Amino acid sequence: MSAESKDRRALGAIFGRLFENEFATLDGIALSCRTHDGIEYVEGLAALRLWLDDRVTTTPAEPSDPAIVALHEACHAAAPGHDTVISGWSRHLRILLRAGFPPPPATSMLRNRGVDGLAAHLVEPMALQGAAVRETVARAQEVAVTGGMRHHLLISTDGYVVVSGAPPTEAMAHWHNVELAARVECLRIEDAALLGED
Amino acid sequence: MNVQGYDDARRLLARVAGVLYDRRLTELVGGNMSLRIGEAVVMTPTKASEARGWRLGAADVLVQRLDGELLVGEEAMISREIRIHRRLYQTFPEIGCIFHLHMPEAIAAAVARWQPGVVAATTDPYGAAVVVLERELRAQTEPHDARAVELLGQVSRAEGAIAIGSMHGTFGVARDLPTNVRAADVFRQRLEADLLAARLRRARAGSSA
Repeated sequence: MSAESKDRRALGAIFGRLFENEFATLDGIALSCRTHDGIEYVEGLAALRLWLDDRVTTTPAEPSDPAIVALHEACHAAAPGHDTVISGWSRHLRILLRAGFPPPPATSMLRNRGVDGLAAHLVEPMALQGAAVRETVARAQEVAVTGGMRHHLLISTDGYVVVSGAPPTEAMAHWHNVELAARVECLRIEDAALLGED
Repeated sequence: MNVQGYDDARRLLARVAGVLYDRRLTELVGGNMSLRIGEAVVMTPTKASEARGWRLGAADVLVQRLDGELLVGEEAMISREIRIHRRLYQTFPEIGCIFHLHMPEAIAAAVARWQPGVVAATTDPYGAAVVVLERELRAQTEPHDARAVELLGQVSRAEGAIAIGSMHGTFGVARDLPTNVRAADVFRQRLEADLLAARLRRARAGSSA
């Protein structure tokens, strides 16, 4: 198996772990890793294809959306020590933010990884596109250094989450932590409402 | 029995059947899935849900020609709903995969929020084009199947289209299997997200009252 195909398999396996437990959906998920001669990508349908069928050998070279490519390139360029970037909609965070709720409180799993509050990582959706991307990623790097984080975290105000980190499984954990916190918050809000009705 | 050219498709369909169940896209008393390979249909066996819990192996998966000739498997294992699969493949040559799923969110939405007819002609906003059949149409009858074909003929299908039978389930079609998985999964996720958002708004309204 070539190094590229091994990298793709690793990304496919990570996608599968996130997808199986409904942390990731097929709505806009993209994963990439640094290779010896560039960046290897899998996104949505290609990731699903890889995960479903381990005999798949070909996938598109890069995401069809140039904004996703630019975002991942900027993340890889900003963090030479990181090897993996994951971006996609956090399902429950998206619901919370769109319904007008603030970002959820940090769980201990987030705090253990240097994230004391998600608000510090929020950016406008436009900050993840076009010429603004590199500046946004540079700011994420500063926040990471200040907070002693071993990964970079960006969250758009409409619920799109971008993580870079290393190794791939740790990047997966960072990305999943945001959706987990949002899941907990949705349940807490509903629980509190039910208790209030009693 | 192995038939050259179908083994990969049989293996893949067996795996995907389990994935669809695990993702809560169907349940344990019905449903069926198929792939089109040229002039043949690769399909899950009858009672794959209740008898097998959607845990299938490649050897469980049948192959039947579009004209009805069985190539792999036993006649007794053919689902009665394969007729509508073959009809959809013959009517819409661009589709390569069909899932009949008993998806609770879709059944509920068809009853609670949508009128019969075309709900969404493209994948926006639900991740799949959506049509709803009239409530009086009973599943596994000619009027039901004919109406499903008619309504699916009015929407974009290659990227995913879903016909919902009232209090029964969905027939989802797409150009290939991963695209059909995506359509079904994104559709359910978006319906679930709508419901959760509504509950959260209600919870907030209750707490501020």
